[in-house]
Amino acid sequence: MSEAPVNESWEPKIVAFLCNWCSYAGADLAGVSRMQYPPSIRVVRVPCSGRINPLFIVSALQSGADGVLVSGCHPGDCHYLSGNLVARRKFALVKSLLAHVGIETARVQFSWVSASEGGRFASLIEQVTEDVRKLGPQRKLAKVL
Amino acid sequence: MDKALLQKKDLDALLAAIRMRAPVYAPARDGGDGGTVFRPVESAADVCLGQVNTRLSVKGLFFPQRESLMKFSGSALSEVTLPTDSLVVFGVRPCDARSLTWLDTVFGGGGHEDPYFQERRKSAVVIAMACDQPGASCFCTSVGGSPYGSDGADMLVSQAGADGALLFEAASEKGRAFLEEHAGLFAPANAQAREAREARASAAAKKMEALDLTGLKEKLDAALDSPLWDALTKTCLGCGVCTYLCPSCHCFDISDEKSGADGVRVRSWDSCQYARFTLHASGHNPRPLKKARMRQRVMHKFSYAQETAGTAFCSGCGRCVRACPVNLDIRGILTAFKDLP
Amino acid sequence: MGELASDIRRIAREMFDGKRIDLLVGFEKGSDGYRSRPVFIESAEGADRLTWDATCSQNLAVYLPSLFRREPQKKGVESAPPRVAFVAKACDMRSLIALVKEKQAMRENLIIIGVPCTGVIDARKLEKVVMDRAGGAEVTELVDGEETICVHTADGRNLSLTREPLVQDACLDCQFSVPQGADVLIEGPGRPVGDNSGSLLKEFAELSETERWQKFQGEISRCIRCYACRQACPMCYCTECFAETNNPAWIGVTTELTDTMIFHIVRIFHQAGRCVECDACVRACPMGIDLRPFTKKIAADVRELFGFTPGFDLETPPPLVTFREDDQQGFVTEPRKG
Repeated sequence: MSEAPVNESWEPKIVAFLCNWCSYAGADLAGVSRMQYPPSIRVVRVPCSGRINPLFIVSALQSGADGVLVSGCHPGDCHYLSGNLVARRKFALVKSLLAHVGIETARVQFSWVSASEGGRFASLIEQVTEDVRKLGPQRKLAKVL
Repeated sequence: MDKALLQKKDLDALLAAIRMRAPVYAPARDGGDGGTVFRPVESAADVCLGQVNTRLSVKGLFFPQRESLMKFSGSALSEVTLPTDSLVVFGVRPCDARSLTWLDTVFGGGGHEDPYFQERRKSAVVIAMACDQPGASCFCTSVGGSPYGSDGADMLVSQAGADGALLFEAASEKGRAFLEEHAGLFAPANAQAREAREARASAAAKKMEALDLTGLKEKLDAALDSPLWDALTKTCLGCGVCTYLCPSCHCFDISDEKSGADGVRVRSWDSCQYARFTLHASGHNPRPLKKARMRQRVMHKFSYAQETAGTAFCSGCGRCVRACPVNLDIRGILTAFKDLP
Repeated sequence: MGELASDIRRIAREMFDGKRIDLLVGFEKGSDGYRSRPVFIESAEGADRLTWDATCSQNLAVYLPSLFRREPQKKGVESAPPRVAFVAKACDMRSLIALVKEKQAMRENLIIIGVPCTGVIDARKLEKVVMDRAGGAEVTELVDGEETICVHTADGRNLSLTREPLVQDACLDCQFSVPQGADVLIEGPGRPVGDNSGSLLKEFAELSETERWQKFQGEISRCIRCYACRQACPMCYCTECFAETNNPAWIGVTTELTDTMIFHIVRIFHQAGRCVECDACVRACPMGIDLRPFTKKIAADVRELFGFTPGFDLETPPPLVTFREDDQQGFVTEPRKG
């Protein structure tokens, strides 16, 4: 990947996979409560964090996302009872494997945010955006035609 | 002049002289296990001629694994990405060089000229390197080839002596012109050098056992339904390595890769050995079984090519035999059919 | 070595004569004298082709899924599934068990003939040693011994080589060299338990992030997308691989570098809890790409995080279809405030 100079106005683009019942609702609550958070995330709503196929994550990176966030219900609170528990194992392995081959760990993050945690969601996005901003544009897996 | 001697110490100077005009590709180290692939080289030190053959054949320099055909934006063509590079390839074994002539019939004529292949081919200089030590899976002499053959090449180079001197023999106008152009680095080849070369050529050919494949095509044509096809291909993994490494296999796929409204149409290698190669959109697959796919490979090379191009499309380089993970040996398949009553 | 081969032949004949099996998958001598290759034996007469030595490196479990894959059967007129015997090293056996766990075959239709293994020869290491000692000559014949291997070359030389340096890397780390639990276990010495310190992974992990990326990219950039790794792997049996779907088209079909890197990352991820580290993928690669620092990572993670090693029992559920309430979640991001 060529090291093109960073555009001064570059802002991180983060694809956020949010589970419908908890994290998406939490994000919505942040919105209606007029909580401010950086406009860096592009949200993809999924029924459950267990729906996440690791291919979604690497595909997002390949499409040029600077970071990927996957957020679901807290363990024990999954709307489908155990989707997030099975997903938790997948996520641990994905994060470990990507870090192992040299993808910066802060670019792919996982979290639990419930429907009532609007403030927590806003803080999460603040934090993830800062983490990704420090790393600069993602070029390792971004496909350039 | 059409035969000349180059001292080993002058190879660097020759490569440098060529590189002023075009990159020189030669077998170079690849990976940690001693394998080689064709890569641009800077000096004689980068060139590795000790291997029987490169992992990948020379076809990739003319028919790349991934090749951009054109760029588009929306539904408008924005650029036809014809190659403009010219190159000199050094150290091509006679089996690989010979296969280039067959690729010429596929991509280079008969009303279906492929401009991408032709652009690269017409401006390239191909310098073949003779084989003094064929490998255990080499069988060029069984399919009409020779370790000292120059079909498909502009020049044939062979080791002229223990001191590492190289004998260059022109095999085309381009080759003669090349030797003229760099005449300053060469010395004339005397009668001794020519005689020694003949002796080496026949010694090398004798190192291989030549299979007798006369009448093979007729036997194959009559044996399409033979149970041998199933028996001989049961262990095939359908991995496609044979076709990718083969200097004359040339199946390809064309796909569009897009980013927003912009995109590029690319050609990439494909293999008749993949189960999905002939899968129709309807779900029907005319070659659903492994035996049908291997049969297709053998028939294409040893029967259909004979009809369309007047020659079998196999140069006996042996890569398919060496690289097959389950050691399926095409020589065994050919002799099994040849020996059918 | 010779006794193992004759034991295998005897057992094969007995099974066919006793009509216990329809097919036996084993090894026969290869065509270039220094390799063995898989063979399908369908009768007692064919048993004479069977062989066994250090060149029997392929993982024969790769054939299991296709042998048992059948068209849907009409009720009442089902044909019986085949009864197949496999000559299996311990790694092959673990793949067979892992496949049965994934319902690719019925255990009762499988007979595992277990063969203890002292390590198989790496054909590339052999070629390199022969290249160094005998120029460009190719190996035409190999005679296996306990400590040394005798190799004949195409130009008439005979080399005596020490066996151990030629053994495949996968075997140096081998923890299970005797296929315990096989239906028929042939007597013989197994290789002592190998290095289980995970030194290959440790060395790789100690590199900086940039160095790891360069190594990964460097190896994978040599990939020609032939899919030999996938085809040789017993656990890759999907009739439609993610790499070749076009709806959705996850990745392109060419050697574009990000597509190729994703192919390998995801194929290796799909091996989680399934890969027995037999190195069939590494052996099959025509470019000699070293996938081990990456394939071993997923297996090590599954061992560490979920305490699971594939291929031993049929009861334990695969680690990615189950969970524990107390599964590790140190990797989860906790927002610093709010």
